[in-house]
Amino acid sequence: MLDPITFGLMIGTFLFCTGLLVSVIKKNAIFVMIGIELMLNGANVNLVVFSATDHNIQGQLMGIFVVVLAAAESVVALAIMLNIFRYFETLDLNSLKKLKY
Amino acid sequence: MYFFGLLIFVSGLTLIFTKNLIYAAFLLVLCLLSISGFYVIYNASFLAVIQILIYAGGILILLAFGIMLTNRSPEGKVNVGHHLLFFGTLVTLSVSLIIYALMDFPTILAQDFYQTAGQVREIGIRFLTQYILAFELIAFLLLVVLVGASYLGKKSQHA
Repeated sequence: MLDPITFGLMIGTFLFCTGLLVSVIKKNAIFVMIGIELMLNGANVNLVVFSATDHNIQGQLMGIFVVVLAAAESVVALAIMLNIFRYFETLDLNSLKKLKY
Repeated sequence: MYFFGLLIFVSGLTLIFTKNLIYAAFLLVLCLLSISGFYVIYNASFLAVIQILIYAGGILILLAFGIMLTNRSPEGKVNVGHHLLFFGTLVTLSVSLIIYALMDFPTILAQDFYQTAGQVREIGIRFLTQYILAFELIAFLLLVVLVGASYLGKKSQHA
């Protein structure tokens, strides 16, 4: 079987690539945000896997910072999306063409 | 470990192919919870608790609110389709190939995990000594985000 470090790195890579694919191919803006969350989680899995062999738990500390930043980012993104929906009545990324109103 | 890996794999793949936003949110819950199980196995129990609290408790509630508030449209149909399929698949495949090429397998040895007891104490001490600047910056960032989100969320004068 695979050793745990390689397996964890594979899971991290899978999460990152899934998030990238979701955020590129989906039309809805909320799907794009879900993809960004998946990418951040992939990076976090990588940090935790490397931190498991480390006496100083630096990877975990960075992981906590990443979680907090992801929360802040999603709050602001959802507020912006609500404003966009209030004005354009849609979240389809192909129909949001005006930058200024 | 392989069980959680399988869960992450299945929910991630289903997340790519689903077209329903509510299903996507619940698949994200499944994915995040199995990631937190993964963290427990990799000796990061505090981060696992943080993951469950913030992601499954906070971000998912926020996402559900976002879906419910933005789901309606004049025709009564939600526009969730795919676009850029070829291009997106190409980009993702090339990125995964690059990561695979960058992973130099012989340098990653199978090492033992260090079982550290009293991890929360260690994390608290490090946050208040070694990482005090980053900790304060994060606190300030959270304040800015709070004010900014409440400003953006109020009914704007234009629309």
